[in-house]
Amino acid sequence: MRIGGQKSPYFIFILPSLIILSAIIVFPFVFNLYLSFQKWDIRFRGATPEFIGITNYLKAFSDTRFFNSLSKTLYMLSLAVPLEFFFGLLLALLFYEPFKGRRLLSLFILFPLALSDAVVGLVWGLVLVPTYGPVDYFMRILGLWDLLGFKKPISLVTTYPMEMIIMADIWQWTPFFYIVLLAGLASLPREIIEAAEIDGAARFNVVRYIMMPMLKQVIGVTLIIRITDIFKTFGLPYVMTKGGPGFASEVASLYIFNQALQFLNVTYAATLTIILIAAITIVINVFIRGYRLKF
Amino acid sequence: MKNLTFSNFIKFLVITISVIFFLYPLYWMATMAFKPETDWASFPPKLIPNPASLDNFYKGLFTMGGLQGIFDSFIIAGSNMVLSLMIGGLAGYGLSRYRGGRNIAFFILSQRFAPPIVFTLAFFAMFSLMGLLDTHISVIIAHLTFNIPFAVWLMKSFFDGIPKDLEESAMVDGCSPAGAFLRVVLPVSLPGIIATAVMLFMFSWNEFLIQLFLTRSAVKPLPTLIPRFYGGHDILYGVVCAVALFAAIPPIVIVAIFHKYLVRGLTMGYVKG
Amino acid sequence: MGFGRRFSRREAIGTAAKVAAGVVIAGVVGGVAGYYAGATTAVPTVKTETKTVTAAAQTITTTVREVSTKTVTAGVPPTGPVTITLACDAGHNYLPWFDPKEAPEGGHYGQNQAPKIKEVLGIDIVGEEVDPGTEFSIYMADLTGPGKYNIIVYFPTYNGDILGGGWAVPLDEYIKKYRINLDDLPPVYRYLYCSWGGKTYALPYDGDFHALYYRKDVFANSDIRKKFKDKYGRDLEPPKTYDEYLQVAEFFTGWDWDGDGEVEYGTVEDFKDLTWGIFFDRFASLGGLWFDEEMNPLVPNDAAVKALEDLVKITDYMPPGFLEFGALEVFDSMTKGITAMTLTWPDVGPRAGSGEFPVKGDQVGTALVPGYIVGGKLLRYSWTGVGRVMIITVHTPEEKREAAFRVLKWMWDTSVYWVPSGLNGEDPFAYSHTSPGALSHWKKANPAWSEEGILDYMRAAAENFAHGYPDLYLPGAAQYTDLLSRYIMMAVRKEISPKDAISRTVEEWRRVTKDLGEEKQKTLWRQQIVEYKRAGIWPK
Repeated sequence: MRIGGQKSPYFIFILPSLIILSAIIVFPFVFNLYLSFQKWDIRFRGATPEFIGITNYLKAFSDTRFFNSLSKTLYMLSLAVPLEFFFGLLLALLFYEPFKGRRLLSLFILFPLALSDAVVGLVWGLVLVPTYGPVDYFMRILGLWDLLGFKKPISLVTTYPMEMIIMADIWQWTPFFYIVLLAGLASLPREIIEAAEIDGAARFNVVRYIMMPMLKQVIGVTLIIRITDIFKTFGLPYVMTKGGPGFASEVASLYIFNQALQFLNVTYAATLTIILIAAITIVINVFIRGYRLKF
Repeated sequence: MKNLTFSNFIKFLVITISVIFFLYPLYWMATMAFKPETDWASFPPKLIPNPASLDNFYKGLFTMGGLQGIFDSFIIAGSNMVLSLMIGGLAGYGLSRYRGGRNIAFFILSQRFAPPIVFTLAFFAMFSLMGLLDTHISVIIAHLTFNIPFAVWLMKSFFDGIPKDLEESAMVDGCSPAGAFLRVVLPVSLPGIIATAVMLFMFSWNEFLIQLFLTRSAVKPLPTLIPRFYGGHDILYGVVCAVALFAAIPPIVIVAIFHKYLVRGLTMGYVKG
Repeated sequence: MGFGRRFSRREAIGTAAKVAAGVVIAGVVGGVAGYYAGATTAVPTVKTETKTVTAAAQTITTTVREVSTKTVTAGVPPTGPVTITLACDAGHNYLPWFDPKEAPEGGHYGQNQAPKIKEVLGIDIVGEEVDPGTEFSIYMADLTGPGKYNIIVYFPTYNGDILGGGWAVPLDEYIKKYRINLDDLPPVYRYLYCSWGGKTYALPYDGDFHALYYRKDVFANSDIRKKFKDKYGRDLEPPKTYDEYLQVAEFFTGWDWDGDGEVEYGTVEDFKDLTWGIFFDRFASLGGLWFDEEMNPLVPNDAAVKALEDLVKITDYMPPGFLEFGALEVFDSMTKGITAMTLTWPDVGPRAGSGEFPVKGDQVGTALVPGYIVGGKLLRYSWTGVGRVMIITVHTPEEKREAAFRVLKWMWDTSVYWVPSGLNGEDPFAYSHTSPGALSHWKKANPAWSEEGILDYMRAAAENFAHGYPDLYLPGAAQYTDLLSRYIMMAVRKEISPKDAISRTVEEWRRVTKDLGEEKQKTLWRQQIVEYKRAGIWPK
């Protein structure tokens, strides 16, 4: 197989993925794009799509609620990703060296991954519920409410919805970073690290100058995956707050969901989706460039 | 010596706090699962279910379709994991070794940028026309949209970390590229494969929106069952927790199995040369 | 003054209607029994006895039929074997169709009707449980696509999209053929939820309305009564106006009035899921409208502001964390003795009646929701927002339509198998459900409740849904109510003033109307106004 004048046996490896993805992705994507230029009142029987050019896009750019949702998503991104990454990395490093009970404890850390978004949202909602939940209970017993300056116990989820969602997200996805980074560490050539240590290098420096560079690709990919996923995160905020109170936690995908499936404005939702995808693409591109992720 | 003990202590502290942080909500979920309905909202909250009851499990699993849900989800996630791993892993390797695959790589990655809503209605229409609604296969195929890109990219990054001289020396010895891949690279990248496989399974297992629209009654993956417990006015917290707890078992078993190899990989590392 | 005159006439008509209803029902039941008796297709053992029940100063003679075998007269012969596909929201409301754990007696009485329908009518129901959060899009996806469902059960707020969109089959001919008595339904169902453009398209399935519950035992306690009278100069009674409601709530907040060592609160309402509903109880009782004839939203605006202000005020007397209380926690606040009152769905009565909670049976009293005095007359409306209605979809082939109708009819018909009674997943929505004739069913479903308690509840239920005010059901209703709920929440949390909340809502509503097509919305709304007027709800 010749590609760009270069003989490459590896292209065959790539081919099946390309074929499958093209087959199943093309239709939804094109359909979505098509919808974004139409007006279609699907609620009425016999309604047909009507071409309206870029009207939907113009509407999106003056939609304050959409911008609010984007800002919530970006807020989540700015807090959740770094915290999850660092926490996961820290744990991976701590678990790199063997110690008693490592196998079991490591497994415990991975448990949150076994739950679906909705369940995570539900469980955290339960844990944080005022009066009946353990967090409130402990804070009362330990007098933490007074300590933090609250006259009487407040409902954490209603007062700090985004922060609670972020915390639940960190709980759910730190294990992702943990397991991938741990696998990354496991693939590192042992002798190099041991050699450095024998030479008297401090632990911290070993991590920083030897391990991190070797893990650069893996770290980069996990960050990209997580960033894209947070843009799309739906199940967790939906179950925990439904975007409330008011619009305080209505992240982008929640707003799009509402537009598409609750308000049935499918064409407008398609437009917002395209804009969201564009936003993700830009962010990821900037990231790849800045991070200098190698292809 | 003193330094070692202090840093060990810090290490111990961090690990303990982390484990508590990760376990506690699950513990609460477990207590909910064993509490009878009158105790779901008790004040003060009961840290240990007393009286404990298996009612929620019975209700959730047997009368509300929990068992079927676990079974269906397992088929979907398991099949999808195997498919995505094979197809995506191969592509990841190809892209890792193929210079000039930059655009293709980005194209594949960008598939993951699309929010599930893009696929939800389109797949509903598509599979409905093909008469494939309410089948496992439609969901398995639908999940390939995000799992293949993930597998490609993650495996690619692991393969990137394995120097090419490994295969080159094998090929010098007379191996074909495919053979070098199978015999030399694959074993070394086992931890990465395992981590990827675990995540692929998880992503498919937990996906909500697409499954909701593609399935009705014949196939009822777990996330689509959860809303059943929100019926009308009441939220059956205890039942949801019971089902979720039980449903966490297959993924955890998978994690546990793979984890063993992961840790083994950790202790062995790999030896160059 | 317009309100005043209209209301006093309406009040009189209301009472007369109740008496008339009692008489009519007796007549209907007797007539129906005769009709059925005349067309027997099986040989059952049916015990027929005539009981005279005295309830609330009405003496009604009814014919109560106790069926002691499986086969029974079905009147019109059963349709041949037919399969009907049905979609209903999951959980609690699905149980009346299918309940694998159905109990012959006790709390789950009356559920699992599908197998009985199959046996008696020969109709095989294939049911699908649908997630209530996304049910709207799932139904629309099916309606605009494969068209698999023959019957769908949904919240009336989607009427605008489903009925207005032309997806339902008109039922008038079947109603005539099967002699359905539409007068059995309260105005909010009869004219508003079930009809569109003058034709009937839907039948009710579950009648959610708001009622006021209060601790009867606490209100009757002489020490507490004295304390109240000393403080406010009037007797302690279930409040009739929202000002009285505020006062009573204030009175009961912050001290331990039931002697259990815990501080209690005045009242609690369901903010989490249906925020706009509790606002609307108040707004409607002030004479407020969703839109006026010119599509001006929330008219009169200052009434909307007042309603919201009152809603914000009452939150001072609610238990901590109330903003996160779902319906379950709201009900539990009563049945666990945390609040003295609550304004919420019909379930509280039967829940107390089940005896499974600390507060039981007759300790909970039910009353008509409070209102406001407008133009010298007391106006009280109960928001009936979350009931369900059922339709036959246009995709149902001609041959199956009649069979589908018989299924719809069954779920209303209380003469034979069951009655909606709160604990079995359904709430009553017809006068026949709450007339003394249905008493035996209620007793079977609520074993821990005294007869008097049940009758009191039935009476209050009938009163509340007779005063029912409909939810908004224009096309795109979800969009309007979503905005309203969010701004209400912000006002309740004191992030913005009620005035700001209302003015922003009004502004956004105008924008939504424009997006959806102002002329089209106006036309559809005006069609509905006709029905509002027929129901006697439209002011002036």
